[in-house]
Amino acid sequence: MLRIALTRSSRAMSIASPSSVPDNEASVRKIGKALETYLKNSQQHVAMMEKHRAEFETGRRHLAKMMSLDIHELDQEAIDRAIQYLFPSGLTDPKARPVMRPPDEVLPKFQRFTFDEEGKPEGTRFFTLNPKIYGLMSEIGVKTQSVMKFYDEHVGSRSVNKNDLEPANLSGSQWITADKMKKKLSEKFSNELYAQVIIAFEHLASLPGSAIEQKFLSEFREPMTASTGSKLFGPAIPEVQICAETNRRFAEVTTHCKDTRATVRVIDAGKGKYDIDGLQLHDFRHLQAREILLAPMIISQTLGRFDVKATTSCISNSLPEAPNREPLKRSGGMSALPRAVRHGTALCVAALNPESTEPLRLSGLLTLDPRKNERSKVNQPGARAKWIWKRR
Amino acid sequence: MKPCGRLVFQVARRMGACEQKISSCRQFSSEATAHDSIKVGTLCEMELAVAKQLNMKSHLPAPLSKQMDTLGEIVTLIREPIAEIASCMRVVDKNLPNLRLVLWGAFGTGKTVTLNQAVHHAYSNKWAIVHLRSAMELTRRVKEIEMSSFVSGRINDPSNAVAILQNFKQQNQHIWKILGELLTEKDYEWSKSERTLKSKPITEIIEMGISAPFLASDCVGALFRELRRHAKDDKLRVLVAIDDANSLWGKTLVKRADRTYAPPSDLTLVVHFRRMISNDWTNGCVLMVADKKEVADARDELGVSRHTPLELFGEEGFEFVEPFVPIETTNYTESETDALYNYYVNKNWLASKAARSEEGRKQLMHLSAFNPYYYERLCAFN
Amino acid sequence: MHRLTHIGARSKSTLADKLRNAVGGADYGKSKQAMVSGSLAAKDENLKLPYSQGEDFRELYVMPKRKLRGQTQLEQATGRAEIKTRSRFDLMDRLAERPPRSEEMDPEKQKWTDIWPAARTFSASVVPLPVRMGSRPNVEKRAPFKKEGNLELVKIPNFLHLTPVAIQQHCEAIKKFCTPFPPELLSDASLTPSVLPISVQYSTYIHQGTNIRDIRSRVITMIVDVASLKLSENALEKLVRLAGKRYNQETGKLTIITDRCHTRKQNQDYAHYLLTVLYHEANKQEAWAELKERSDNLRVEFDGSTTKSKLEDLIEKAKSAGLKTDEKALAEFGEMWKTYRNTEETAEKTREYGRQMKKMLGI
Repeated sequence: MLRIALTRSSRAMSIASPSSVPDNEASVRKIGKALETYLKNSQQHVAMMEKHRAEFETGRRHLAKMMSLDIHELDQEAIDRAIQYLFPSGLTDPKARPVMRPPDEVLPKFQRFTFDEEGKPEGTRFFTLNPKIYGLMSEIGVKTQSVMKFYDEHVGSRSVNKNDLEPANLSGSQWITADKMKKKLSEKFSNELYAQVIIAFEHLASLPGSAIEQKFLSEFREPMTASTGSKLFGPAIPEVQICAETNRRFAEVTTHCKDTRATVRVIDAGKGKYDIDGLQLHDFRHLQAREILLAPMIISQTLGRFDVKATTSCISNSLPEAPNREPLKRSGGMSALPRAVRHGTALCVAALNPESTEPLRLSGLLTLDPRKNERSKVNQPGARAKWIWKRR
Repeated sequence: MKPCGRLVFQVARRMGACEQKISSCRQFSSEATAHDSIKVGTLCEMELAVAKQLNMKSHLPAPLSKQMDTLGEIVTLIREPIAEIASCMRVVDKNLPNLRLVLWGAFGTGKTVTLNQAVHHAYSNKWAIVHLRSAMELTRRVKEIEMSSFVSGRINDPSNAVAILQNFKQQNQHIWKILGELLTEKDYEWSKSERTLKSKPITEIIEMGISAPFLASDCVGALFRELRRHAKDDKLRVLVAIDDANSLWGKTLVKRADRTYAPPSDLTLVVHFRRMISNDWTNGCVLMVADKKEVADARDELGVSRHTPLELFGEEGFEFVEPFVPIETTNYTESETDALYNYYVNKNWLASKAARSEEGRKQLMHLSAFNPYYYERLCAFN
Repeated sequence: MHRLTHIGARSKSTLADKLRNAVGGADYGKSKQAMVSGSLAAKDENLKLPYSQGEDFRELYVMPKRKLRGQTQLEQATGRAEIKTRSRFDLMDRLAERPPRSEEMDPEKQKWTDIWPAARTFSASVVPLPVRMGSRPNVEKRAPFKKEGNLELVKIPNFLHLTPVAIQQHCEAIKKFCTPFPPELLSDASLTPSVLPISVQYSTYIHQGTNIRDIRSRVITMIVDVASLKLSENALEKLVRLAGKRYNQETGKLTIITDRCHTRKQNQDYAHYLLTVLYHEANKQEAWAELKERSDNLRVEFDGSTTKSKLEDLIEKAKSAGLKTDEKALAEFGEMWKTYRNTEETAEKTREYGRQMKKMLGI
């Protein structure tokens, strides 16, 4: 289309034949290829979304009829359950399983630009390729100027609240990470730009009088603890329960390490007794095993206070084998069982003894170890080991 | 633990007839009384001279004997098992068949140590001691064998037999004179040339065996027979202490001429010891240790097997050894651990500062799982 | 003549008409035809004309009736050339393609059970649900793959043939052949072994492919309640010896797992056969069974053991020495000894043994 436009106009210039060129073509706009593509994509996207929405709606009606459910009660949860029923997938990755979601949730979002009727973008920052972050930087610059002006005008005067003349209070929080900022502005930018923005923010925050911009600054701050992960990787710290018969507090949790799944119950007001699959602590012959099992108590300094009761099983043995076969004796290894029990014990101790949560977390005992045995590959003796390499 | 309980046998006669002397030991606790019954929970020292005579260096477990060299003294904890044994030994009588005791317990809870403490106790009460370091030596560590001329099919073990006789001689020095007064019952014809005549002191049998290894196994048998006879006649009391006694019914590594393994009943020394255990003589006490060494798999690091007497002795051994009194050895209690901890601190055995702190004390206690063996090893490295 | 009929036959076809029209209009060859067909009047008509010989007008060839090379080039250069739009090479294939069947379905009127009556691999054109499947590293960038041409959806099993509606239809259809489960068995679980003493278990295995076979489905587990066989004591002991590990003492159940035949039915027959043989063999009394000794017993008895004789001996000696003895303690000890020898040995049981022994000997 572009080429036609060009040749037609050039033709109009070179061969002056006004009658052959119709009127609407004389007013054809000289639009760039990028904008042209954008417009085409935009129209296509809109059409596609319409089609998908209609398809989804029909699909919902079909599903309701298939599963004999009321169409008005068919919310997303019900759809998920129905799809799980119809397509039972044993895949472990939840992202790999079949889904049926409205296209607005599932399909990638289309970036909309606003243009005026002449095809010019609404803001000049469009041409910087990172409009939103440059916009943010401009905003910071403007606010910096205004804060300095405010301070200069009102320092020493009594008409202004004393607190407003202080620098902004940003304790207990930190600047949001680059990823979060990208999500917030819904724009991608380089790390250098992010660094520049943070420098600008820091300068603004350090100015006296920046307390007036507290609200603006706190939009880009997140609390300290949030980044260090208040969410544990693995099972969370369990709730404390009370045993009915003995009236002692206890906590119970199920974790795993390598191939061993362990259900651990830690009971308060005890003597430091261990009962792991019927074995006592002295039945663990290796010092390493005993150290592993006692580590949570040592760190939380509660030696001899808790009783630990644990049962373990092999994860791979829970798969159904034929009854005429002996179940394969697989185990995680020498330290796997103690480590699984240690993780459970640490979580329970953190529940029963909350002041020890921080030391336990810092020592890493509350984190699940996700490592599993690597599969051995064909043409190799093991997972990584290779046969003896011969040059010839 | 005072000896008490409903007594079937009249105790009054016992108490009057013989005074049981408590093994001489330096008490470490504050409530120590010299002539009282053995106080449980205290540390007791064995005099080095006595220890040397009783050959403790080779009979105690390796870590303890090394500690003996380093610290220059043997100090062990008096615990319930030895008190029980002491009270059982008081009951021994010439009219009653020998009292059999089996020490059993988990690994590292003090079976061998208790056995040696009992030997010391017997020494101080002037008993005759027949102490075997380990029955596994007879069945599995046989260096050279000889076919027996006395009974066909039996296998002699000269080196072990000589060792037994030498050990007996060394351990019974305190009653050597008494043994010298005991006389043989009959003529012993060891071989065509050697013989011991009737009514000779039995110490001659011992000398004969030590000097002639190829006769030693038979000498051992004869010695044991004489001891039993004299015990029946109330001339002396005998304590038979066998460590790893369940190996007497276990696996052998002795090969016969046709390249099969000989059963333990084919070994003369095993037969002799079995006779010492059997019920037909009186005025004695047989103390045996049921140890897992016999049945445990050295390559199995993680498995936990049973340590109970029936499991370890096997059906045949169990029925032979019955009726016996099982005496269990257990892990330490907190107070026992504390006593030992204080001793180590006093001796500067615990080297690091962390070990001497309160937190260190608790950690040592719990990390060892209150097991005596693990506790000793942990303290040695801290 | 042959040639003329040939022309005459072709002349009736529409293609021929088309060709004719394309070349020179409707009149092409008509005069010639007329001449050939022999109509005098036509011949007379044509005589007067200069080309009355039955020929067409021979046009003078000046130039070809098409755009010449120069003109086309000029047109192309100036941009006025008519661009011939050619149809697609696969146009006919595309026209032959039908839209997906799911588009022709009406959710209100269509019954799903009619469309998908039996188990079938997933077919994207038939299933009207816009289901997506496919793991993407960055979900926001790219959606899971659509169902058309999606192998993953084909690989996983689907239960489109077993929707609740379908199941209800199945149940309705077979209801008239079924009787209700006895409520007495539901309420009282202890009745089951007497009413249903044998239970047979087997498994079916589903696979991701078209293959329905699995070798493990031939295995049969048959669990028999031995008490319901009503064997005599000797027969029971013989059965226990014959069964070995298959008999569980605590529950009293005999478990037979067979996999030695190729099919499930054969294995089931074999299991029944085994049970029959075991039962009859157990009931047989052999002559050599009389030779059974104490050491052959399954359980160790206190009476007749060396231990008992030794203990009695001990008590005798104690009596002769003039000491108190206790007969009751011996009986109690015997009971404890039996449990100790015949059940799993534990540390606690050994301690109990020790306590009893000490009580008896008075230590």
